[in-house]
Amino acid sequence: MEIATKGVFRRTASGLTREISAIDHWVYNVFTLLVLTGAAFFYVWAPGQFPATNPVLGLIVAAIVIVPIYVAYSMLASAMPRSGGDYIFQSRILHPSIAFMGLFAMCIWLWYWLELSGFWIAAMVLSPLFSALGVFTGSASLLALGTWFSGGTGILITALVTNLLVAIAFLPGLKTYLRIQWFLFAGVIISIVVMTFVLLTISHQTFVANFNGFMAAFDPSQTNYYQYVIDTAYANGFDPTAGGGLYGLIGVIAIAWFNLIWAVWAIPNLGEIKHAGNFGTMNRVMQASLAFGTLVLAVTMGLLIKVCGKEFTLALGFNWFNGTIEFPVQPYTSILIPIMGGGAIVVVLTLLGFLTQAIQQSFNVFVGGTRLLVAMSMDRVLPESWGKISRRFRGSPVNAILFLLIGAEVLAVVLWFVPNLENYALSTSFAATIYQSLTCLAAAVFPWRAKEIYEASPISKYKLGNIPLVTICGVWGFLVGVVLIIFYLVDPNLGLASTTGLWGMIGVFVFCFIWFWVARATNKSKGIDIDLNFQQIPPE
Amino acid sequence: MFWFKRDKKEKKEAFTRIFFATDIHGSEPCFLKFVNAASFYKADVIVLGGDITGKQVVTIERRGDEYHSHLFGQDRVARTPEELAQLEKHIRTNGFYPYVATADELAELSDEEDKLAALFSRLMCETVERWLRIAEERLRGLPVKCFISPGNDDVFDLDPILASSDLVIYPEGKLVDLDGEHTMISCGYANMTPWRCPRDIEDDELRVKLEAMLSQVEDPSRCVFNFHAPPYDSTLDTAPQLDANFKPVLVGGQPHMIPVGSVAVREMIEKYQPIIGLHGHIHECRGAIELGRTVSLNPGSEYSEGILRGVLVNIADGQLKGYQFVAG
Repeated sequence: MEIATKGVFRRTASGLTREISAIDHWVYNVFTLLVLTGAAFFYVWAPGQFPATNPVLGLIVAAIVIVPIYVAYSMLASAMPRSGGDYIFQSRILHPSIAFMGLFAMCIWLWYWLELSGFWIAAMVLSPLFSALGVFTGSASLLALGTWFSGGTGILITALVTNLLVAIAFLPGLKTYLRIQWFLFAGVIISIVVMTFVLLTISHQTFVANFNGFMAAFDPSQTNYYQYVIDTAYANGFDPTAGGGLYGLIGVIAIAWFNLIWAVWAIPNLGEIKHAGNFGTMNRVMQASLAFGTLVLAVTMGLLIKVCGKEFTLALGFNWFNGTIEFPVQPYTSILIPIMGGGAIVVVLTLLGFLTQAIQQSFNVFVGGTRLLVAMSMDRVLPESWGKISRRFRGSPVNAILFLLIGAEVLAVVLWFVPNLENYALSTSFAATIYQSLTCLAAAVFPWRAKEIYEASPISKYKLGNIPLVTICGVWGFLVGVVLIIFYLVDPNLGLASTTGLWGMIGVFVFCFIWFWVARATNKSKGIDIDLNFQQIPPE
Repeated sequence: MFWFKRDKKEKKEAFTRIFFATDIHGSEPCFLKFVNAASFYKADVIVLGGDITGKQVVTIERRGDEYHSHLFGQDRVARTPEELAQLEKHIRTNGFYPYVATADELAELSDEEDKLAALFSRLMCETVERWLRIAEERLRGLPVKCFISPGNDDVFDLDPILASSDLVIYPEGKLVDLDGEHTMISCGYANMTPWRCPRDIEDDELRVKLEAMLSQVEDPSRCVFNFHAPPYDSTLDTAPQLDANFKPVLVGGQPHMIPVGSVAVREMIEKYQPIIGLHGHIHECRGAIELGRTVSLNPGSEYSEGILRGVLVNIADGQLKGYQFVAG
């Protein structure tokens, strides 16, 4: 017996601990914000597509817009701290068919996310590494190898191998991942420190000289590649005054969304987060990761413009997105900054973080994806076997891992035939925004649709006037989501690069929706009424 | 759920439906939901698998006409009988026992361990007695059998109270009939935990106890094993390893997760191969695992959120026809 806190006596009884601490959660979130790899897209994409909009301003506004969304998520998490996160919220508050449609579709998009990890390792790590080493040593073979990793075959092979290795590493469960997370994070921090140091200490003139020298190794005919980038952009219709105003600002926010919204990706792991039931801690961890991610992105973007020159930065983005220059090495920060540094150590230290972040990104697809699949399987919407826990692999959901791995490997081969797969990156944002908006809608109606759970939770005391705070934040998140979804649909530069892509997405959503009703009927024929999984027993 | 409709004519299913929940740890909403689960899930049998008592007493200090308490880091004051009732209800909702006393009485409790232990026992027994009356009132006349067994955290004072009901069946250590075709045997003891709870015993002792119980079972293939402790190394029993101070042992900066279930329980399941094993004890390990023909189930627990986790099991002709996890 003991006095636990003021006025509380506690007897000796068994109790347990969840695995993910607040600091682990924060680190995981910082990873999911993709402060190196995903951010490298932002640095070329936002200036290239919306040159008249200040990208740093866009990042800051995006972060401010996201703050209430993270509040809504933290509130739902603390009220329903269960594995499966968004799927649990939506299925219990809105409707299970809606939840399954949005979240199973997301699990299918995760195949694309796994390709992105391979892409990042090939195009942002191995290609710059071998290219830089080729320039430093004068080796044509290394230069060719660097170029090969930038191409479709290099990316395909890297994606296939990365997916397989990470899936194998994830088999022993979350424990293994949590043990190596800190080593991966150290790589990211080292890279951020090195990049910031280089950007703060290098002059514009040095960058131009180093850039021209570096590119001349690939294309000796261009002695001033820096000016070539600018001239080519103008020759192909680049207009630095285009993409401004409110439209441009929303566009930049939509691109920043690809990074800054992703602290929500820890939510499917709520069953393993120690403080999941504590709104204050959940919210602080999410907001702190958002602040850190925004700071890194904004500072890097600002310094890049200062060191590289605004006109060059905008033109580089234009050429990258439109394919008007066949870059021998893709012009991401993973190569631009090592070029500025001008030495092998800077190259290695910078690329270390990109490599560890890409590996972690692959892990976090498996971590979050398997939690969603297991939750759906527990509800019997997916076959029971998909969520089966393996004794051999210490509680790991092997079949769920295989679903993600096999789908990703097949997709890798399919994407081999698709040029510029990175241009579809925001398609994932589009798909994710749909499920995140539905979660925000669930937050908005939570006090009425799941009244008993809401009233029993500590978040019921947070109100503005008579309106529950979770409703206000949920409505905000839903409206922002709707605006972004419309934007992704109407602006051809934001990921939905083709009508085929759009129909493909719609097809997946329809497929998932139909799946739910078929699964419901099939279970019913076996005497299992899955409707019961989503209903609350009245206590009175 | 707004799009769902029940069939107009409910058919009598050709199987026995069991609803199993466990580890509600004093949560009043969870107990009330458990009782209501019988009609809500159309279950023929409902089983509460142990660890039914709470772990904490939250004091309410009487100061004249006011009642002061401290819950979840916040001071709370009740000034009317209605407010006091509301406060007590809120405390019970979270699985705690409210206790109203003066400052002197509370100080006495802090100083005297025996008095505090007696208070815990009294509050736990009073609560369970009250719960039994509610269950009797709500279930009488319904075609359902209700079983409530203790778990390793429950004190022995509880057993005579559970056995006193004329409706709720106290199944501990006994072979009980479920539906005329199937039986159930129950054991609330668990292998030793770091907390050395009332019904914690060494695995060897548990093996002897289980063997003695199972000697009553004529046909294990038509029997349900309701054993509070999950089988060892079954994924239903994974928990952080703890040191002598109940702190998680860290390996590489992370809690070291180990199987903590009972070897004896696993041996009995593997040896006798019942239809199903119903287990609890490890709240985070909701899941199912096959041990030979037997499917062992742990529905987990989220009592502190007022969520009743459970599992619906359909059995017929000595076969498991299906199961599904629910959380209501």
